[in-house]
Amino acid sequence: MLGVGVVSTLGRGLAAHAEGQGRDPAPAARVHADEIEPGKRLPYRPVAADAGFDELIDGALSDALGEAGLDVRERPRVGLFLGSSSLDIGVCERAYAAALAAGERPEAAMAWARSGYGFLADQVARRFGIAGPCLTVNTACSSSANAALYAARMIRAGELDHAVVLGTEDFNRLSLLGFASLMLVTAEEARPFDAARDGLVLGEGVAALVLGPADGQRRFHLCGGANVCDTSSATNSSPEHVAGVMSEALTDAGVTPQSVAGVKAHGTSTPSNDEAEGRGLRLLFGSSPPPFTSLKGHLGHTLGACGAIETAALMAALEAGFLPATAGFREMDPDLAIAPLREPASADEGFYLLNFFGFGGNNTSLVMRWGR
Amino acid sequence: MNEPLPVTAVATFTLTGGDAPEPLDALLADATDGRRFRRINRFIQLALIGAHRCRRADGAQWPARQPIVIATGQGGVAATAAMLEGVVAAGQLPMPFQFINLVGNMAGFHVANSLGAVAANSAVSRLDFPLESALAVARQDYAREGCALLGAVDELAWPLAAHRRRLGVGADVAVGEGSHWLRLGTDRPPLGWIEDVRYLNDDDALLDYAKSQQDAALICAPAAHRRLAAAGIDLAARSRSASERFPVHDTMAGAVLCDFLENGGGGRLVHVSAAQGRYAAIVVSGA
Repeated sequence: MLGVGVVSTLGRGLAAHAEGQGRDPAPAARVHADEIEPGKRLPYRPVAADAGFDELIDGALSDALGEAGLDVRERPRVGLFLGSSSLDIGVCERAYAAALAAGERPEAAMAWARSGYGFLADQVARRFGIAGPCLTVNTACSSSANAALYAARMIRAGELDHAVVLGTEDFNRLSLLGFASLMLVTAEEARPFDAARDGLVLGEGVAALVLGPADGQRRFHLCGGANVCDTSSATNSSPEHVAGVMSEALTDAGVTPQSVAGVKAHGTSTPSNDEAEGRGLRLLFGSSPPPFTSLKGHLGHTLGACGAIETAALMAALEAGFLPATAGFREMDPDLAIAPLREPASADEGFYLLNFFGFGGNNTSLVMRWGR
Repeated sequence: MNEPLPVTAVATFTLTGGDAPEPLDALLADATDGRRFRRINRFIQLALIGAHRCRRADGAQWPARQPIVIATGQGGVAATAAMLEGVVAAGQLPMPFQFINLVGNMAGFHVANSLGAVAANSAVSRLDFPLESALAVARQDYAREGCALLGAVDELAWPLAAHRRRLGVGADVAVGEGSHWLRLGTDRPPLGWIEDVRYLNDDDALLDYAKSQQDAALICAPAAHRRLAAAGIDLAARSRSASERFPVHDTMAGAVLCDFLENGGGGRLVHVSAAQGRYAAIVVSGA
């Protein structure tokens, strides 16, 4: 990984994310959900910066390209792999609301101009002069993890030299209310793996990861990974499939379970995800798994962007010397008999497993090596 | 240039947009031997019909470790627009399964579930070049598993005037929806091969490339066809606009490729997609 840029509720840049994950998170913001009932408020973790969606993207991408040292002359040969579940739906939502507020009578939403899944990536590529392959991956909450997986594979196959992996999540009411309709949003705070967990807190943010050939100078390496569709349920993973995708990712990276220094769990704080993931961890690692944590108590669940954002956040913490505690976790679930980190732990160089699971059974695990 | 990808089976169908959506229930029941699918939307129906027709056309047992890649330009745009209108204009909560079905990979989930595939599964896009970009992902999956199932799916959303703006086409252009599937593998004699995908960043590159493909038929998106026709009679004589045969949709390239392979086309075909002065060529050859 040659460069990283990240903007989330914790701020902009790796230093802000290391600092933010080293302390207890501030209470989540509250956004209205009058559609559910008048006066209803739901927790949310927005980006604090007073910036538009494009500005967030440009900030994260500029930071990543700057660190990677890819100047404008090299960008025509760089690939862009954007992973997002909601893409530019927030922009469409606001435009539609504004048109209605202005007294216009649009015949349909999302109908002003050229659009499509690839529109956002196309706009970003044009702004930054990125002219290599330009892919948008839309696989729910594993979107940007899969974008990273395929970007790394194409680099490894010699099909391109550098790739920017971009994960984006822009606040939109459709996602907020959609998850609320599924009864998956907590009324309070995320409590991943906790016995009393009762739902997730959504969040927004952008992260950019620049991938390129290993040069011996870099501290973080994406070593492998796997994506496997669990067809047993569209909404709930099974422990066996969770264990299976983690195992496949480790095999792809040439790493044994015993060599894993830590796990960044998907850990959404929903009863079903954390049960499947906890049991999956036990299936793969036995009763004494490596230290594991969920970052969603700090970041919120940034949906399709979480692959890039949580990878960047983990890198920030590791570089600062620690594996973050699972914010919100208090009491072990006796049915899982497995507990994430309660306090920040000293981090060792080595291999880290990162999990990202999405609707449609779309399970992805990545393996990252920290250290030269 | 990469190794050619062998195509063992294809299936394609296209519907031209009329006054209202054409019901798909009977087509789905026929394609899947009456299998029942609960709580799916039109985009998923389109994907299932195409994937199962491809399965039937192949006739062989497909392995469980067969990755599935779906290319799409607009995804489930009809349901997304309708839900957005419900939330923003009417203050309605989305219905749970309608919301879940919006994610791009849900069609791939249902295809995988109904075909018994437990492998990689993705939905991939690129503005104006969705099939071309998905081919890059399918190539990676094929390299790892020795097979892959690639679908190119787009639906219409009514009113069509709004949908035409999404596609960037004029009011006189026939728009449509379709589901085009190619199965990559080596366990059967191939119908043909996908030889190459080439991005061409300007008009000069398009002309140079077209001239270098003298032995191939050319089927082009309208903008590329106009550019080639303007460049010379020789090129125009062997090039046709894809829109002469298929209603416009983002994954129309899939219709062209599948049609060529399904009808036993010998020789080579180059399909050129176009977007704002940029082009992407897919080269396919028949067995």
